[in-house]
Amino acid sequence: MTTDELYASNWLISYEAGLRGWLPSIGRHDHISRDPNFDWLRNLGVSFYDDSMVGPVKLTGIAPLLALLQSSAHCEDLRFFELEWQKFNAANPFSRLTVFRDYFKISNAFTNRQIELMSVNNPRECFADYLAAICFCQQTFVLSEEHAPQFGGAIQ
Amino acid sequence: MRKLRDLLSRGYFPRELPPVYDTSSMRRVATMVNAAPASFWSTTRTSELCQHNVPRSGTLRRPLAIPNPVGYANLCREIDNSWREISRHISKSAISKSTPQFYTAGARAVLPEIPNQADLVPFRALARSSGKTILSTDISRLEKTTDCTVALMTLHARELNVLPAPLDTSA
Repeated sequence: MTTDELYASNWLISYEAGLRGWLPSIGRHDHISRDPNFDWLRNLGVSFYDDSMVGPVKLTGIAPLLALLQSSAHCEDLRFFELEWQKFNAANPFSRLTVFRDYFKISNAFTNRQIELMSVNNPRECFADYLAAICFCQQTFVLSEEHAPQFGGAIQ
Repeated sequence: MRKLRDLLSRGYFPRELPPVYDTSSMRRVATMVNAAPASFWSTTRTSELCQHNVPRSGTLRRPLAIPNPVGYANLCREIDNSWREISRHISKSAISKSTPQFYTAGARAVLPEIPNQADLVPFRALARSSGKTILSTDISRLEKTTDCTVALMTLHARELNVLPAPLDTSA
């Protein structure tokens, strides 16, 4: 990383990666300290990334979900799920519904984010996967067939 | 200085970003304004926007951008210093429902006068009931394709003879 990158389109990763030691600077000098403006921000303790909020998505509700789907006692829920699944697959490669947070019992889901239920055998997966790190949905991939994980995607 | 602090710490990043991206620490810039290096508030260096895409249904995406903190801090300071003049100018509009309002609490320091799109429905209905023509436009990419220079031109266009004088419709 270089000092010029602090003013380029990748300034955020250049600053945070230098701040946290994720990536090295090019040359012997710290690229942030060579710029007085960003050096001052660093000395003030300015950071744009709160890693205390980062954690793996924990799925604890798959078994109850499968039991629900296989249970005739919950036919209304099952019908809802199937209808929604068919509708979303027909209209979009992925869907977003808050209700899936409850279905999957994702214990550490962000309260202000929705859960994305994705059909993994769709070629548009790569598009959504590319955005996984910086989109407004936590992504949950529901595997329906043998599948190779894509870069940046969390396959659960 | 309170507006500068709020602009830097609440609402700097697009709300569509995941909550791990946080700007609350930028408030320290506002509290330490006079301790900044000379180059910080007098920088002439240009910077690029950090690109951010919000997925939409299908293959669509909504491009957003995050300004560089040095340039953004300078812009916010200018807004803070000139807010009285800016506020006087934007209050001239009789039709706008999105004039910016400062809030001392909440996730965003500034919100439109009517923040929710759904609340605009009655105003649209009222306007369309008496109008003959509907002018529809999309300025969602405005902030990526313009900068504060345009805002300043809007404020001072008449002095610069960029815009014609308003038509006299009283006759």
